[in-house]
Amino acid sequence: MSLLAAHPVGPAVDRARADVDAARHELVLAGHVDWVSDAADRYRSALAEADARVRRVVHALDELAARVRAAEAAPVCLSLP
Amino acid sequence: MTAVRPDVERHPAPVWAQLEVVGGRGGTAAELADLDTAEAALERAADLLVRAHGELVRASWALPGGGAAGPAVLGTLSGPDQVGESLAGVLHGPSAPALAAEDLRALAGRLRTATHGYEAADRDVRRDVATAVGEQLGERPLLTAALGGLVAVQAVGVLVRAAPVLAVVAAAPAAREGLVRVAGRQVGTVPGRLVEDGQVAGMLRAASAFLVAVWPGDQHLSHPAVRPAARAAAQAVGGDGAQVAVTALGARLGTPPVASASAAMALVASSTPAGGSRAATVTIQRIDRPDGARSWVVAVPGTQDAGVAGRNPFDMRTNLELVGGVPDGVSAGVERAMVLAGIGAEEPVLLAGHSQGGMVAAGLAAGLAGRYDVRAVLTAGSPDVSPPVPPGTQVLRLERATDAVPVLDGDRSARDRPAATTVTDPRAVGPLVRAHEVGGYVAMARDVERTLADDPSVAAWQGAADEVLGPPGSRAVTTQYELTRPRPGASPAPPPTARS
Repeated sequence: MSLLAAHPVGPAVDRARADVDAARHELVLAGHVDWVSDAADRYRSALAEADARVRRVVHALDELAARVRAAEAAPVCLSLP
Repeated sequence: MTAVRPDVERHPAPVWAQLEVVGGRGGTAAELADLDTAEAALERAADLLVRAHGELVRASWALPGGGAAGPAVLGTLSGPDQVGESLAGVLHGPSAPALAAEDLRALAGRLRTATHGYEAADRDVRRDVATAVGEQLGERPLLTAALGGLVAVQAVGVLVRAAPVLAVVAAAPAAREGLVRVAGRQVGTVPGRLVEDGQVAGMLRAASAFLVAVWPGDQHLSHPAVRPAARAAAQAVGGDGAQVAVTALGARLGTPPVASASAAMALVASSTPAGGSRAATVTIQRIDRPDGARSWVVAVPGTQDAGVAGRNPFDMRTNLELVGGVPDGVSAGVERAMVLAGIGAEEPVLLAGHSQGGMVAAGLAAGLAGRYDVRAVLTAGSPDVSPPVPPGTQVLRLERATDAVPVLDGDRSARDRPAATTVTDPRAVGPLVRAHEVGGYVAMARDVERTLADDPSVAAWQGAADEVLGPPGSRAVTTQYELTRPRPGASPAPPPTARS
């Protein structure tokens, strides 16, 4: 069981993280092309940028997961407006 | 994928502005199946990111009061653990999975556009060939074959007796009539433009398609027909064309170490009777480099005999076997000579060849993978009929646009592979025969060295060749080997033994 499972959003964050990891794996596959040209260079550059963007998603989810873990140790305190 | 050729007649341009480079490290090549696979992977990645985004949206619903939470509400739901705030940051900030998914879908769309472009180019090539066959020659397959075969054969100087395939055409009376009728009109108009426009290649395909169609058994006209037609013709000659005897003729004195592509091609030129060598001779140069390393240059000349049954294997039979993809005498002889020369498995090799010799060189680079360390191949005026070379081998192909021989493979598409660079000189150089001369290709190699050193494809080949060619201070030992087909009925040649 994930460390995040106890928090209401923990399981969803777990699943989202797994999906994003799987997406990164697909990007690795998308880089395996036997293609040589200027367009291929541009494609690989765009793919690298896309991968960097997905890595930022991973980073954001990791931060979110850290918050969730921290929340495990303390009772949730709502401050409704 | 192809450059526009300048108008040489009215606007003479310097050499550097005229040589065309296709393929190689800086060229254009695409494996369309790979692009399809990559596009599908990008779409799957986008789907996964959208699903991740959905998970996070549903997670927001799990927070108290978060059912319809926007960023402002979520931010105030966090409390001390700040989970809502962080979740809002992910869902509505620049790191939202859905935004990354949009990027990937856009990239997949661009990739799809590129794939469609390549497919369209491929279709155009096929359509052009079909047009050449259909519109120019009508719906008379016998005449088509006769004219196509005649023009192609005449264009490359193939004699009738050297092409048993013509016997098939000649067997059909209608075809024979067509052959006679068009002969006087067409033969004189073959050069230059016809080759340059690719019509010779189209006609060759037409002729080959017909020949395949009339050959016994199931035939598949949808496939390029040159190879099966050549194979059938080679088999019609009978016997084992790969049987050759190899005799070491001894060292040639005074040959300097090959230090450049043009010098390698000059070594090929010197291996011909016109270059001062005996007929049916290959030249192998051992280069002892200043650092103690040893490398080798193997020079293979072109066709020397228009027959199919003589003892010189540099003949039309070998051409048919090479184009047909069956074992041939020159390749077997060169391989045997390499063993006799004592080339080590770890010692880098450059294979250079003109015309038929180029086909042999490229074929050996693929066939000797694992046994010899072939780093570079240099061909001049050669059809492109060989399988892809192994990783680590670079091929430089020199072609003159008015040389009819390179189009004998029947392939009008760009010679466009990552490890194979084709440099084309579009300048007209006079009659067909002159365009194919090895001396002209030596000069073209010098032009390439002088003007294209910075081209990434040429530079990649040069980098591979430099691992073989002799730097200043190198010493060379140059040995020639004579290849001879045995007389009919003679016992097979013994297996080669490496020189100690």
